Amino acid sequence: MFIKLLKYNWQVFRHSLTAAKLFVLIVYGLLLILIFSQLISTIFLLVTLQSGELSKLFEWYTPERGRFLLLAFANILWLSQFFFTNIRLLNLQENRKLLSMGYPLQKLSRHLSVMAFFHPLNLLFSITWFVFLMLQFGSIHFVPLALAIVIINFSIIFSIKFRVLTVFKNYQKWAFLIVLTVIFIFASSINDIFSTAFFSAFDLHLSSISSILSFLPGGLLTGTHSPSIIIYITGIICCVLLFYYLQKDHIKSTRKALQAPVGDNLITNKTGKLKNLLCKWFGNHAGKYIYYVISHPYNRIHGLFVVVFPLLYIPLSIAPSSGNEAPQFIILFFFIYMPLGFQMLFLANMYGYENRELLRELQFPVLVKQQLQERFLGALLLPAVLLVIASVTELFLLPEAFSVSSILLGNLLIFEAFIVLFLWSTFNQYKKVKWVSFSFTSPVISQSVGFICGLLMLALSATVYISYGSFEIYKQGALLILVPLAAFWIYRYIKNIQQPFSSKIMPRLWNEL
Amino acid sequence: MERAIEINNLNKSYGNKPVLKDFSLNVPSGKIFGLIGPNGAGKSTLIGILTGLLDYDDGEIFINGLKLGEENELEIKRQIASVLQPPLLFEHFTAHDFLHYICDIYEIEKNGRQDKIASLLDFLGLKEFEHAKINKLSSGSRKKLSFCAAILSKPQVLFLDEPFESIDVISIGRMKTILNRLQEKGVTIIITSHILEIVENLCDDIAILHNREIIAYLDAESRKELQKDATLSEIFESYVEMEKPQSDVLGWL
Repeated sequence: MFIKLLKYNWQVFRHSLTAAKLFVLIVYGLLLILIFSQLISTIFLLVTLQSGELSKLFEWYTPERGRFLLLAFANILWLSQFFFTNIRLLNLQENRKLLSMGYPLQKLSRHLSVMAFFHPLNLLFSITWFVFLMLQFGSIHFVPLALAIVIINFSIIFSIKFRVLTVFKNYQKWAFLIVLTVIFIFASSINDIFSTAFFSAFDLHLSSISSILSFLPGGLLTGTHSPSIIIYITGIICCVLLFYYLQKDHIKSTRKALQAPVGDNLITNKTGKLKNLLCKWFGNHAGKYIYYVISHPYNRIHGLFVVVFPLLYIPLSIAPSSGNEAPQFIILFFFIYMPLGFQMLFLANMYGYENRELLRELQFPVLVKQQLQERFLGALLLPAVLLVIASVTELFLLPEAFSVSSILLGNLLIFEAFIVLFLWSTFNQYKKVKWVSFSFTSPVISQSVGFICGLLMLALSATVYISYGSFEIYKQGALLILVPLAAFWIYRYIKNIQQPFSSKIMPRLWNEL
Repeated sequence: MERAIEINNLNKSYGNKPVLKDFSLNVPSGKIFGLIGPNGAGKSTLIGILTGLLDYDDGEIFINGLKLGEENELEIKRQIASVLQPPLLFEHFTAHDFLHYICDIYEIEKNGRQDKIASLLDFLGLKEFEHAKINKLSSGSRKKLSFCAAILSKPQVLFLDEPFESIDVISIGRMKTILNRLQEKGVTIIITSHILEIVENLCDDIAILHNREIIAYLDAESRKELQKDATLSEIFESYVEMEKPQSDVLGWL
């Protein structure tokens, strides 16, 4: 039966593949291999530094600092695993259909839990932990213990992720406030952090920081150095018991989710004031669309990341006393990241949020073209305002490093390039947005697309913002030609937006009836 | 007699598969017109085309004398409303917000609007769901809500695709009352349904759509003649099922 389940999921996945999706998957796969090799080499370095002759090569290396680095790495690895552990393989929406075809509920819950473990991203982290632990244990006899720890770690993360939304949902305002406060404190104290005085004080406190880190999840996982036989046996027994209870919990949660899809219970829309306000500001059609975008739980998390990322890194990259100034294009990349992030949030899947509902809207006594244009321009407004703010801030904060024209033209070109990309993707890669509230099961913008867009932003920044010395004049000339050309293309596309809509989106909407 | 709908030589296909071929039909104004046919006959496709949601390959369509196309898009949209199958609703709105949104779009005057909405919801047994989220409503309530939205937009031509499916008997009776009142006011109503008893009682003229064409058009007079000895279901069967199934078919059952 498990084989049948795998076959069914493979067929669902295969039929959802388009040429563009396949391309994204291949690039994503290569990126994962790169990340994996980076992680493994870092682990080798950190572990070898601890015990080998290699540490003598580095003057700054002390056992205390080595321990700190190891624990910091382990905790960061654990946090990354927490954020990226992908439970989408559960595909509850699709797999619940199997219940009506005679697949027993208990069996399906159990099989789905097993299947989730084998997502490539989940395997990547699990293998990394396994290598990490085995290098620490230093003996092949500890393979069962390392395996048990890896599986239990995954199970714990899996359990938390199944339940974290309920917690987040209840306390989201507080969580948001805390995150903002931390960012504010971090940003305002950036100069102090990089002062020499801070570093020397920091060094003094390394041991206490390390002891804190050793009690965090990553530290706990790495804290088992060559255990004695008693600890080994106790460890195995504890792991088996913990694994049993966690699995029981997983299967129970999966079973519950299969019988009552989360999407039905956890949609958190409150129509009324916000919707009315948006409709008043942006017009009925754009207002409703924007309301749907900002109501989607995943987009709220996405929006938070889009804000947090530059707020953290811009002060870091321009901090004068850091002694480690970032390349110019990286600074400008961080500035353009926020408008592009919001552009991605609003423009990707423009017709996927309401899909069938759009057919109702198209019957309204308003020209279809007018509705589509209003929606597009409304969705573009916030990213455009952010672009203006970012450009003005850049001009004030970085007056010497860059010329006005290179900043403005570069920003405009990248912004336009992404409009072109999202317009193309909206019509050719139409994707129905699912309203399940637990973002990780059905992200509006998948991790692979997010990664690739990030890489693309970085690549474009490196191409556009970098100074070409004596050839700089040619770059500026090229920008002067490309910016109006792209603007003209976008203008033409928007002017005739009804045509791609009627030929590409409408048949799909009708077929989904 | 004036024609509310005139269709001449309409062709529509999905890929290589023709759905409507040289299809022609006239629907007189102010009538309740029933369009019946087996599954896959093309009824919903036809409604989709008439409501402007589906493109067609060639042919001519006139709605209240206006040719369906870009030049009359706005005027036609002002005159028509529909209840499609499944109903098209704004899933994340409440019933109250959805109906007010519809009224805003159709520029229904604000004075007395709430009373109209409340009385309509009450009449169709939806009052208790006024502030419920639409995605929580049962399929019958969703259908009735879609019906309310169509009525509120004050159409001159109303398209109803399977309007009575999953609706209770009392609500069906009330919907029929509303439809009869609309007809009195000159509204043309086009209904597709598999519940032939309702079509039989409610509709003036009935057309049977089968194999991409109208195989029978039953106006009031021909119906009177035919229905002397048979019900609409029997007439429908006699047209659609020319060959009776053999007794050994599905013998394994």
